[in-house]
Amino acid sequence: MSDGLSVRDLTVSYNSDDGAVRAVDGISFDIPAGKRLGIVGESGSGKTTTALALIQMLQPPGRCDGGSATIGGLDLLTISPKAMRGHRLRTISYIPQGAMNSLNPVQTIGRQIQNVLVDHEVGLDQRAMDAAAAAALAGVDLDSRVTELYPHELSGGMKQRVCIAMGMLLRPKVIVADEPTSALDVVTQRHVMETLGRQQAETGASLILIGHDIGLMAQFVDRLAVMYAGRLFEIGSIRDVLTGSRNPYTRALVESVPKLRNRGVITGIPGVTPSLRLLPHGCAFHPRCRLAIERCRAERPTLLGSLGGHRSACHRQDELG
Amino acid sequence: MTEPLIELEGVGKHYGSLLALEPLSLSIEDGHAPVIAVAGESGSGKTTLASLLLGFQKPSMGEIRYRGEPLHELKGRRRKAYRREVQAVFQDPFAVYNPFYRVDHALLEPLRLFGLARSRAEARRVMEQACERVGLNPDDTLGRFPHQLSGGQRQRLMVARALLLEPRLLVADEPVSMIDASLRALVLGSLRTLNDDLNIPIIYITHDLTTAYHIADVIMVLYRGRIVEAGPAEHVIERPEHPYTRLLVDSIPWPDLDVAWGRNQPVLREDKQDQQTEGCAFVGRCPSAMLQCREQDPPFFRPDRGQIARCFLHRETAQFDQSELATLLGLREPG
Amino acid sequence: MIAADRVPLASAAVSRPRSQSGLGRWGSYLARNPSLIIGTAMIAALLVFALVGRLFVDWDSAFPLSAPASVPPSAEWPFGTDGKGRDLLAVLVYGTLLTLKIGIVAGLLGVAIGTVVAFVAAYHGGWVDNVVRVCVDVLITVPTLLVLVVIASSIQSSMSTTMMAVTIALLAWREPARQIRSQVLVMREAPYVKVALLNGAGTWRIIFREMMPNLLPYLGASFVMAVSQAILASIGLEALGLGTPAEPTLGMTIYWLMNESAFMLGLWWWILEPIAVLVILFVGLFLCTAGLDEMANPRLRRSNG
Repeated sequence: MSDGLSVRDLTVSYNSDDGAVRAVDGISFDIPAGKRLGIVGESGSGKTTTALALIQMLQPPGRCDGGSATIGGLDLLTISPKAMRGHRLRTISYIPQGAMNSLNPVQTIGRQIQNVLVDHEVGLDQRAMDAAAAAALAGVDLDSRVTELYPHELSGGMKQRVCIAMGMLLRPKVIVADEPTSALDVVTQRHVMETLGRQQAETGASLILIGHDIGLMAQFVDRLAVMYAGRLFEIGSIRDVLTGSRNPYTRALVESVPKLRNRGVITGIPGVTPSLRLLPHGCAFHPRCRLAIERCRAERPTLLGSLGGHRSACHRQDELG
Repeated sequence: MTEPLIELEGVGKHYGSLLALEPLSLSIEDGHAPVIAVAGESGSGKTTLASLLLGFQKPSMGEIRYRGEPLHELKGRRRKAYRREVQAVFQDPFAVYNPFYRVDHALLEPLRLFGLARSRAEARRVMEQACERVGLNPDDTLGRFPHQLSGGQRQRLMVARALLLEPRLLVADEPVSMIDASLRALVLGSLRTLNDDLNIPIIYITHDLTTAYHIADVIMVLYRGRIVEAGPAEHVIERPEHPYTRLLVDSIPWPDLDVAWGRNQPVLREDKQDQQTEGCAFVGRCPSAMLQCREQDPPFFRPDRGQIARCFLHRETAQFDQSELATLLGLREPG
Repeated sequence: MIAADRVPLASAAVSRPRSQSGLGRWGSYLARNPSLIIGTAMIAALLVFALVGRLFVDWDSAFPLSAPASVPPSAEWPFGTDGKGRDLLAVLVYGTLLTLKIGIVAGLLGVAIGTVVAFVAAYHGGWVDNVVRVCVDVLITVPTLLVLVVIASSIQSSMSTTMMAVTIALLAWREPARQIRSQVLVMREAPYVKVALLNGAGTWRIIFREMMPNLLPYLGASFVMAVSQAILASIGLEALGLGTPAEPTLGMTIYWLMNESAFMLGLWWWILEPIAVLVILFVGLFLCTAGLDEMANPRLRRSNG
């Protein structure tokens, strides 16, 4: 992969009282430039940890202990923290959930946007920086007079779009958006996501959308990865995963999302998400799986399929296809 | 005839000059058990309505009565009876448990304080029964600390808590918004169990129309403190009549590749808020706004005997008398 | 799930299947909070020194002319004696106890008054809260020692350690009142307090059964903080000569050694010993406060997996 992000065997562990625990267990995926990958999973599935690993923002005792994440010959996992600081925003941008709360309350929006340019030594004069700030805001449907406002004068959706503008300012090659709309209302969510999507398409960046809302994924991403207990369970085009899933967990997860039909019918997945400290033997999902057989208890399924295609980790996927 | 459980008479709330909830009259009588979804964005007044019903806030206007007596003048046994009969399930399934105690505390306290169990053994039995009714294994849940249970287990235990008090009204304030998708169905299912077993109404406060569509019998949509549309859930979601509801429904990201997002309307700028004081509250964002909408606050119209919509687009249809709201919501027999 | 995701690495603990006893949780928590352990150990060591020491030396030896003057540490006088013929071992044993007594009495009184003021303000709200808040904010700017000097100098003739503790407590409630008030304000809105209301609990039950247990770390931290500030204030007063002439506290020892020219006479043991005790005392109390603070404030908490 010359352009786009290529992640191989990403592994994150952390030490706890009971020994080391794998929060992300050897996951691999590619995102070509200009494409969008969604990563869904429930609490503790490792999706946010994956995002944090890519930008070297894991909090101790978490640590990345294997794998690579290359973009244009640069391995994001092995560069020094100092080099990473230079690459954040320039090569890879992170838009966390509640990013809007990270704006500095005592600085104007314009000032904060210009600080990004100054910190990254873009070397523009004042007038060019003003223009750049106004252009960045225009890109997210915000008026240039917003540069003179303070964060508290903006609504949540506007602040989130300011964060997108800042994240896109240096035209990064990869954008990692971690539940960027989780605190917003549906109408605002749609506006923010459309803004993000348009900006990504214009710059041709690769985008990773982390989330739990399969509906949002269906409306936004090209490919979807499903994580469970730190493992990649399925990955494929959004259509493959939503309508032709070869993994019982994905199927049950998609089933559990309320749809605009069959009113009154919502199914859940019985049982609880396993603790990472005490993962079941074999497939991590087998205690909750309706299709589980003896082999699922004994042997951990590997991800089958070609790297850019539809891949699933399930012993019985052939019966599902 | 007995006094209604809860009666709202012109109950409204404002914070300073901001209207949080427009005056609303409604009575909740025993014997009717609809699940009523109150849907809206943040600032729509839905949470205000919940905390008024639960007596956490006093209304700025109007009066709330419990079995005929003003809510905020209740004393002693009457107050206790109100506390037991009007119960709630809250949004955050972690913060509702006091971190100092095991989860049992949340169930034992009411049994003790309302005198619902005569002995420790009886309390234990009642708790176990309640757990089983919401699909929890008592041995896996009781005796644990809150952080040792999953969000879904904690929330179902909260439903079990409500269940063992045998309330006459349950206010469920965003009960599944912090629960994993795969576990949501179980929590919603436990609410349904409670609704069926106790035959009581549930006020389901939510910003999520998708779960409202599936669990509620009727939906009431609020916008900036005002009811804009109300009626049977399938009508409101499948063919919304108010432009605001249409916008909301259209903004739902359905997990369906053939139902595209925003296929009906261009997205509206959420920052295009207006400070209009007269006329319809939604006029500044409404794609169908007419001159009349700026001058006059629309009354409720009822286009086809289904839901009601507060919009002049339906001015040709019959006006709806607000005193019929309880009937529309299934809280009273028609007629 | 949204909240759990905010702490990605901790979220795995959500469905921890094993039940741990409360004691076990404390044990494993303490192991990650070394400042609390070291601090407690230092204070405990001082207490052991004082309490065991009391069995071997008597009260009278802490007063002048009970021993030959200015003897360096020796077999007979392990800590030496001072210029006025006090056995320094006795002085330090009783001084430590008396000084700790001042600190603990003042700390207890301060935290108790502060807690009551905080609950009244936070629970009553409205003008009561405003008045309390303004009073506390104004009083907090008043330099403690200044006020104490004024009070102490007007009642000096009859000053005892108990009086001194009460005097210090007059101002020691400000910081606890401020901290606990803000905690109570937050806790009052906590969902578990709302559930307690729905469970039929009254105000007192909510305060004592729901809020107090969660306030314990704060109360502990406030208490230790108040103790160390009270000790500091008492030593300040005593070093200025406004102390308790009839009771050999650590502060009085400092006063004497300054007053009686220990430096000029080169009586190094007389200088170093009380200072060593004070250093152990203050560092120990500081570590305890830091440890309790970390326990009370989850943001400072080390990740516990």
